[in-house]
Amino acid sequence: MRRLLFSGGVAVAALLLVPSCEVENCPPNALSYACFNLKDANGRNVSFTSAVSVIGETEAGGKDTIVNKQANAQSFSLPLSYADQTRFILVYPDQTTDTITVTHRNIPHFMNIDCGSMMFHEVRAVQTTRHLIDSIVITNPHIDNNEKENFQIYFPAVAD
Amino acid sequence: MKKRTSRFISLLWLISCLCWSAVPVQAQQRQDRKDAAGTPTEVPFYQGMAVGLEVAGPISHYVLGSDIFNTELQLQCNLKNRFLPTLEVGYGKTDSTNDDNDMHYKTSAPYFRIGMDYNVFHKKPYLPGYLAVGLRYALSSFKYDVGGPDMEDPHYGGSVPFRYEGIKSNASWIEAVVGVKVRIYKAFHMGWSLRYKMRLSVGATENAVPWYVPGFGKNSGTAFNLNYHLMYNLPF
Repeated sequence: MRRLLFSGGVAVAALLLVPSCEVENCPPNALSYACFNLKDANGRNVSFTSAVSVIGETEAGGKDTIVNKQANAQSFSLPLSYADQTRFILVYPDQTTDTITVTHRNIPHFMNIDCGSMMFHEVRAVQTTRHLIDSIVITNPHIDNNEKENFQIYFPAVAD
Repeated sequence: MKKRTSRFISLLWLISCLCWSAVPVQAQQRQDRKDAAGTPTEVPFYQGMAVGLEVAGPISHYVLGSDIFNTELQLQCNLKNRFLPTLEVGYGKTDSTNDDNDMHYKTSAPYFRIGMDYNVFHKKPYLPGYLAVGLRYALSSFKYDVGGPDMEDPHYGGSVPFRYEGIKSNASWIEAVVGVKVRIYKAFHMGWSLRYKMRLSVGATENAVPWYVPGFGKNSGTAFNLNYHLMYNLPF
């Protein structure tokens, strides 16, 4: 009798436990963003006290306002395009601009059959105009859905 | 469908558990392996071979309509009624499409396992079955296709196709096994085994990580699996 109870208990446990092992967990963030941190000449984090906008565009004419007059920005998370090159136009309060051009390789990535696909990127080069920006450095060329710093933008004239 | 498959396997398990429980009482009476003089008898080293066929996978595929097909042949040697070296050769395939997002994954490949079971009831040879624990090392080398709808750029417009075929991969894993084997008629046996699988390695590319690994199941760090075997003790 004890053996029968044990066997039945094990079987019931299987009924309850096995279906629960089949849950798919999709990542909460299925989009890739390039993270730009703003630095002063000494490499310290800085922020714009005034509002800055960022417009992204491609050579094919795709255009999107990604950041709209954001004040106190210390960093920007910006999506790259599915083309080979993406330009980000930083629009300052006085309507002057800097343009950052990112050349990149696109990596379509299969997550699983339930979560679908997503686009990763590998940065190959970056260039910038030098109106307020002094320079830009690639700190991590791999852009995926894990949020991390990819670029450091140096603004020597921006106060902390 | 997944739930139906799991419950079906669990039902098979329950049936075999009940078979185990229904062993005649007189057979359960202790019968130590001693001769008439009361001295222990020597257990022969080689006690035979058995072949088995895993049947839960084909039934869940053909009867219950699972997208995943999996079956395997098992060859097991009985040494001293205690050690059971085991070789398993299987074949797993899937051709799955998620209706919600049209993602598609296809693969088919053999897999191999080698290991040994230990008969916990080796001192009770009079029983019509036994409980065994064991370990396996398993590996599979396979190719797979993944595909889905074109990827639409949500910010700048445009799209890129998403289809990759013949991606090569391989995987290895170990399994901890607990199972029972019960005689059902003469040399025919049946049994279930619960397997805890721990992935050791799996090959990935920048474009994909395998979703399903033949023999392992859905790709993750660990997995549980229930196998149900029909076995035949070979007459040599």
